[in-house]
Amino acid sequence: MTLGCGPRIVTIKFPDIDPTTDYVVCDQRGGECRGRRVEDVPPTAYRPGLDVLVPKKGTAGACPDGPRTIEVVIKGKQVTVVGYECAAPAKPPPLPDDAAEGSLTGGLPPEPPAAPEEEESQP
Amino acid sequence: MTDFSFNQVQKGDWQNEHGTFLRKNIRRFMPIASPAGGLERWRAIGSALKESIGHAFTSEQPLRVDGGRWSLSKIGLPQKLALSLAAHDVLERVPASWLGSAYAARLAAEELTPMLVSSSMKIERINRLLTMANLALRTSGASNGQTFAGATSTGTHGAAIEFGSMHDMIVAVHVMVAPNRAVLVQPAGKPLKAQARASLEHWLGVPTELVSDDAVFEAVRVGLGSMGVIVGYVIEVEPLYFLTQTVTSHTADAEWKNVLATRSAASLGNHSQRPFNLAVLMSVYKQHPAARPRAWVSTCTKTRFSGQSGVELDPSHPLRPNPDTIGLLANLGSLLGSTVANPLFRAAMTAELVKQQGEGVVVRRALPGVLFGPTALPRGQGHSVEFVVDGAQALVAVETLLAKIKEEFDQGRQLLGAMSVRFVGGSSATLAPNTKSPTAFIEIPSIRTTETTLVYDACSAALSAANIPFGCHWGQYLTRVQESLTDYWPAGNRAAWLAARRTLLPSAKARRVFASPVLAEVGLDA
Repeated sequence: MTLGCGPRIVTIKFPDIDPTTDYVVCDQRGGECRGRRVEDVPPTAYRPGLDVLVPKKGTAGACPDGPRTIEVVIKGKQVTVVGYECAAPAKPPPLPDDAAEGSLTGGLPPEPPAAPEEEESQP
Repeated sequence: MTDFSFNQVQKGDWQNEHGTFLRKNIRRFMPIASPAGGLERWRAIGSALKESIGHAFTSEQPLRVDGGRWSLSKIGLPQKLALSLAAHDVLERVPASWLGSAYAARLAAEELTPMLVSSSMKIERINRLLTMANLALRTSGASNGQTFAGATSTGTHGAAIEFGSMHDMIVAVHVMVAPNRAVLVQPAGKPLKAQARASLEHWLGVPTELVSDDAVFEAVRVGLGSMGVIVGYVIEVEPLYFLTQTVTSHTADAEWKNVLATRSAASLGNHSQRPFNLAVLMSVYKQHPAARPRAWVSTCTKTRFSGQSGVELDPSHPLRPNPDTIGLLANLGSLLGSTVANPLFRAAMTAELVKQQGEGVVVRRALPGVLFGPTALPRGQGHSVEFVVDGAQALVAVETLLAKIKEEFDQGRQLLGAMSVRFVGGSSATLAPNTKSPTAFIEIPSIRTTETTLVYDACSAALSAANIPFGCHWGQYLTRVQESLTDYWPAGNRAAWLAARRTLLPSAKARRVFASPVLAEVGLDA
């Protein structure tokens, strides 16, 4: 894999990289990507935008059997994750009943008491 | 200084996002989000809406909402008063208590999630938030700077031949129609229960009616920003997906013409037999040398994303691979400098097309929020028209337009842009551009010069002379719209839209307050 001037999507396949690793680090010069365990990386060594977080096997919300691929975009010195695929389906998105847990913008206010259906008006 | 309790009020210049329109001495209401959040934040927005709309009614001045600021037509232009609802920032799953049982069953069967989205939220933010929740818009335009209301009210589309346009994911519209009156409009099938109305009334603090009526619903979905002040929508979104895009370059005209004639890229070999998206980008002039590609056929297929939730999209993502001619212009504009009149520009433009789109076969794979990422027009220099025709007439319409553009060039009027044809599934919305199934959207963006509008008008005249009925994208340069309302949209749609508007806005004063200046120009102000 070589890097040109423009951005490109790089697909990193597992188990080419150990699925128990925490980060994928891509070498800007050669474009080689490799996994790193979190215990091998001092906290200060993590580089946002360069080191890509991998969905770890066995952790909440992650791929149950680990990742199959991770896709990143490399441009210049920036590496940006654009997606993962799991070897097995991940946890499905929550149903509407779970709305409070899955808030995106701070949640909705509490609802008023249940409204009777007959109050609807017609134009 | 302000005399409004909840509003920050500015008075000064108003510009659209692309810098192509400027209005002076506009009073702009800008409600500020309450730091308290929750109910207090909703109520603050409700109070600001009541005051802003109340002032417009009292002073009998038209009020335009900032949702139209992305438009290149005059549809969003304020005359005296403007309102920004950026502080109303909501994207949440709809409570289960709102859903009728039959509707909930259909959602489950089709794996769709109903969301409440504020009208002012931009597509870029919606994409980012949904992606983090493993969800995605069902389709989007090629740009992402529009608000949801601005995009849908003008008929914004992608190239989703298997789906439709952005307004086709709307389930209900929550709209303020008077200083202290709101309406929640949904289809007669009543997907939402009365609890939805009750909740929105309680949260916003504005008396709200539930209207379950197909005619009103179909009209308000593409309401041209003239049905009141839209507060939010209930929309359906789907599980997050990857888009795999295949782009092939073509030198032989017969290849891309066959795609337009058949509405299929299956004959080209590298493409899916039944793609989700289908588009063709082409140079409006023949390439020199002729061996250079003139057209690019793009198809996208969907693949379910099965990874963990929480993927973050980079808002300044460097990819711009989509066949978005608006985005193309941003790069073309950088070539221009002060050389607009330079005849060498045509060569530079066609070379830029080849450089951007590539040659041979290019395959890319990305999340929709990445594939349709940031785009921008060269500020103040952009112009664009978009004709819509029945998909079955795509080829004859494109040939007619290309012949006219060449004729104009031969007479010294140069178009500094490209042409994009995108096929979109049909819609039942009354004034939706994609009223045909499928509809072909033919977009011709250009750098703005004194000649551009003349060429656009010549193009619409050529379609008319060729007896090809055409409609418009309401957010782009509008030409011969009255003819379109007669010849392109089904008989009765204009009257149905006007009747629905009178239902929502029964008083003449209300219709004046919420009128776009475009309405009078095209005969939709009755």
